[in-house]
This record gives sequence, structure tokens and C-alpha cells, in this order.
Amino acid sequence: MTAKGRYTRLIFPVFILALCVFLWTHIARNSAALDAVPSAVGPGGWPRAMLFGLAFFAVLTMIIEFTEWRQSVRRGGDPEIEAREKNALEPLALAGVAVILAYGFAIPYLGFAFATVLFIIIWCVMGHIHSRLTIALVSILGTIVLLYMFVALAKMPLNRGVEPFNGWTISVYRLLRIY
Amino acid sequence: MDLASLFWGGIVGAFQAHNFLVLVVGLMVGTIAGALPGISFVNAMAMALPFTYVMEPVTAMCFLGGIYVGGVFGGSISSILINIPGTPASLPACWDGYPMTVKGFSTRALRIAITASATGGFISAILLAVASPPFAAFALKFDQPEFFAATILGLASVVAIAKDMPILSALSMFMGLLIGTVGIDPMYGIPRFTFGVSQVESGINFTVVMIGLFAIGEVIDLLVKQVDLKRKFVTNPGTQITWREIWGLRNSILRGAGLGSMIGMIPGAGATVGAVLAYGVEKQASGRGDEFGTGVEQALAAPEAAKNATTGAAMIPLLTLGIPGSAATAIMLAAMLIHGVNPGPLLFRMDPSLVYTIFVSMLIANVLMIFAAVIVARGFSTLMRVPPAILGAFIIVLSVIGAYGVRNNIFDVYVCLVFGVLGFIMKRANFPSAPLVLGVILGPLAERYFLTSLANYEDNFMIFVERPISGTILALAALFVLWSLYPVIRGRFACAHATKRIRTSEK
Repeated sequence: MTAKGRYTRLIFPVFILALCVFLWTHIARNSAALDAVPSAVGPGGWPRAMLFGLAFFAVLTMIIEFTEWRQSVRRGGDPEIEAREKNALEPLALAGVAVILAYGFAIPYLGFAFATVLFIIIWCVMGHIHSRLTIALVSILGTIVLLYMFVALAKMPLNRGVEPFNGWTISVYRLLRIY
Repeated sequence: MDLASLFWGGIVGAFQAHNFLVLVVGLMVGTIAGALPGISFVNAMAMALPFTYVMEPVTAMCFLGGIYVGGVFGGSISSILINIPGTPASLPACWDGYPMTVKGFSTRALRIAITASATGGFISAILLAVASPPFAAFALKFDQPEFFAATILGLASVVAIAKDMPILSALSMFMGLLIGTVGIDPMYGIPRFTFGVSQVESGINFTVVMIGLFAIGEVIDLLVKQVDLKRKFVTNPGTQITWREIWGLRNSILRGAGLGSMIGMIPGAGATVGAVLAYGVEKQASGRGDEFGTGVEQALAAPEAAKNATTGAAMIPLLTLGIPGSAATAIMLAAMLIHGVNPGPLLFRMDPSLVYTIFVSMLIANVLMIFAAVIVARGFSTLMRVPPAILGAFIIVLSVIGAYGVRNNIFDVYVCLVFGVLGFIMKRANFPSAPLVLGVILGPLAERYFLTSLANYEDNFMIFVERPISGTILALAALFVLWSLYPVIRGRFACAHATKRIRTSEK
């Protein structure tokens, strides 16, 4: 376990605990409605039990992680781990996360077809694929195959985006004879 | 309808051209996905979900069953040939399979692994076919408290099986249970944790959570690691193994298959636990324990048999109680629910043709797996040439389509992506994500059974322990939890005692 990993494991339960405290008072928008139901448990009973369980195990995790962290600090840092951490490609991971999120949030605007072509191109470039021909073939042919499978065969109403992408997507669909 | 005609109906159903073809395709997809390091068969099953939307329920189950069976074995191909386990369950194949490859016996190792896996899987499929109907008949006696107790047992065993990290597993599971409460409550219709967002009122779909956690988190890891798989490939196939020599391994295979079948039935255990336990048992039973790790054939055969023996057994609680014990069976549950099929004891009465076609398909899948495994093993060097970035890109796209296709709702894509990021963080911090998924699936079930039990039995909380079957199941769940926590508590006491002793000696 690297120091960064241990840090995440300590921060994570702290965040969970804070979340539990917040959610305890926000189960329903109208808290009075929870207690108005004549039942031994009511609609708020089960979520409260889950929040309590989550908070309990978050505290236990915090104690265990903090104890183990203190012990590892006492033993001294591991230079090999430090070196490995320096070499870790964390920025690439963060960029990967950002690109995936951007892809998902771009679909309603660009439409599935254009967003997917763009996403595959960016992902291949990030994955150190240098051949432009490979990237072009994989992104365009791959998207066409997916469109045939899901729009033509599965009849899935994949998002076409806002104008002008909606019009462009319809043109592509007509070209592929799936519209 | 008698048993023979039900089985005959199953055979006819499984051999229908479209079902059979889809099963073969599923096997190939699963074996390839399992063989590719970084892409597990669970990823493949999650990605395959959108394809099942257009299939008949029985065809969808054949497809997913094929991926499951092929994928559980597929991981061993990369373990044996390049010393990288394709799936965690294939780790024992690295310990003794790869040393055999290094010695020049890669074909021999692959044949042992394929034969042992197919045998284990076949035995497990027979167990599924034989044990499920009587168990389902017994489960017809279950009322709401019993179903609640069975769900709690499923949750408890998820924590109990994670013996090295029970607290973290419990934390992860409770996160899932809490996520399962989001949306309109099932009894009183009051929205919970919705914060005024109308899309959240219908709840967070567990399929979407699963796709995000398993597929997206893995792909980011695949991008970052940039493993050059081609370099690790050893091409010397070596000598073959004869059937007589394989027959000599029958005890190891049977031991592994028996253990795997038992482990598979426990919710939360799965192929990894089965394989690792079988390796440990074989180390004791074979009498060659000292040589293990150097390329011992028994050490390869037993875990391989155990690994695939969990596949059929894991489907018993799914089909008879509607309780999935693993991520793979959870995906199968999702596919069934999408098609309006509710697994449980009543399914055996309402739709026996579906159930028996699944049984027969599992039997066929384990036989056909041999051919799929041989083809994939032969084409493995070609497979290694596909850049991980291209694979990753298509996994993401298919995941997004899969999440969207659950309810044709873009909001589910956002939820899937959020859980993808969470899955990546959890993977980096070594937090188990499988208990979270099972919490999301089993949580709403547990709540519904709990509330309806109280409603039916006049708010009597003791009903769960007063009824003999539910009381026994809950006692078993409590035992499971205590068993899992015992090493943690003992470890803490031992640590505190040792610190005290050191301080005393320092004084």
C-alpha cells in the first residue's frame, strides 16, 4: 500500500462519516412526512439504520487506517515506494477520468455518433497510438458498427444532440440507411 | 410435467439455432475477455447487457451464461502463457501454470487447465440441474421473514468471505445498501434522498452502478498501466499430455470440483475464493506440497476445476431465491428483470422451460468451452497485438450504451460515469467494490421483505427469530459475521499485548 493509497483510505471514511451526518437530516424533503406514517419503522427507519451502519463502519475503518498509518510512519518511509509514486502516471489517470466524464456529458449536445468518434480519437491518442490511419479507421468504422448494432438492429433511440449536430446525425443515419 | 419431459424441453430449447449460436458467441466473447488482462468476464457481461435487450429471456441467459463460463476459464490462458492473471480467480494458474510454460510445457499446462475447468464446470452444472428443483420446492415454504433472513445471509456472507478486509467490505456494502434506499420508498411512496431531482425518484438502477464500477474503473487502470503484453509471450508449445496422464489427475480434479461447487453456492464467495482454497487443500492432499509453485500438475488442475465449478453452483441461489451471490450472477439477475422474469421458487412453477433450458445450456457451455478455449489459446499471440487503448475505448462506449439502454435515459449515463469514477478511486485505494454492488441489489430486497414482514405480522420484530427457518438462517448469518471478525479482533488483541510486552521490557 502506497502512502497516497493510505491517505485516500483515511480520507474516504472521513468523507463518508461527514456525508452520513448530513444525510441523517436530509432523508426526505419534508421530514415531518417520515414520522407521520403510523408504523413501527416507517419510510425513514430503514435508511436511518443503513446510515447508522455506514457511519459505524466508517469510524471503525478510520481507527484501523489511522493506527496502521501511524505504525508505518514509525517504521519510516519506503524509498522504493516513494520512487514508484513519482513515476506513477497519475495525471494520465486524471485526464482519462476527465475525458470519460466529458464524453458522457457531451452526448446530449453532440449526439452519440459525433461524441463517440471524438471520444475514440482522444482516447487512442492518450493511449499512445500514433498511426493516424489506425485512429481514423478505428473511430469511424467502430462508430458505424455500433450505430448499425444499436440503432438499426436494437432500435435504441440513441441521443442525436442539439442543432446542428441533430441534423448532421440524421444525415449520417440516412447515409448508412438506418433512418 | 415429469422431470424427463422438462429436461427434454430444456434440450430442445438449448439446441434451437439462435440459442445455440448465441451461447457459442458468448463463450468466445467470455474466453477472449477473460484472457485479456485488465478486462474481466464481469466487464464483458456488463458490456453484453445492452445486446440482451433485443433478445428473448432464454436467449439472453444463454448468451450471459456462455460469457460467464468462458470468462471464468479464459483468465487462465494469460496466467499460463504470460504470467498475468486475466481474472483474479486465475492467480493460482500463475503459480504453477506459468512455471510449466517456462519449462517448455505450455501446451501440456493449457490442456490440463482446459480439461480440469471443463470437468469442474460440468459437475457444477449437473449440481445446478439436480439440486435447484428440490431447493426451489423447499423455498416455496418461505414467507417474507424467511426471504428477509436469506437476503441478510447473502449480505453477511459477502462480508464473511472477505476475511482479509471484513471492515472495508462492510463499509462498502453499507454504501451500497444506502444507495439502494434512494428513490421513492416501496411501502409509503415518500421520496428519499432525492433532493428535488425528479430523475432520482425512480431510484438508482443497480445495473448502471455495476457497469460504472466494473467497466469504467478498470479501463482507466488499463490506460494508465500501458502493459506491453506482447513482450511477455513465450512461444515454445512443448510436449502434449496424453488422456492417460490426465486420468492420473482425476483425484485433484474431483477434489477441486467438489470444493468449488460448495464454495460457489455461498453468496459472495465466487471463483477466486474457490480457486485459492482448492490450491491450499491440494497442497495438503496431494503429498507434493513442498514442490508447489514449481510447475506441479496437481496444483494447476485442482484450482482450475474449482474455479469453473463455482459457475453452476453460484446460479442456485439466483434461480431458487432470486438472490445473486456474485457480480456475474447479479448481471444475470439484471438481464432477467429487464425481461420481466422474476427469479425465485415460483419461476420453477411459472416458467419451467426457461429454467431447464438454462440448466442444459450450462451443461453444453462447459463442453463447448473446450473448443472455445483451444481456439482462443491458439490465437492468443494475435490477441495480444490489439492495443489496450482501443479495447478501452470500446469498453467505455459500450458501457455508456449499456447504461443508457437500461431505461433509455441519459441521466443513467451520468450516474454510471459517477460510479465509474468512484470505482476507479476505490480500486486505487484497494477498497472492495463488489460488496457495494451486492448492497445496491440486495438492499431494496431486504427492505421490502423487512417491511412486508412487519406489516403481515403486526409489527412483531421477534417474528424473524421466532420462525424456525428464518431464525436458523439468521443464526447462520450471525455465525458468518463472527467468524469473519474473529481474526481481526484476535489480531488487535495480539498487537496490543505485544506492544504492552515491548514497553514493559523497555522499562
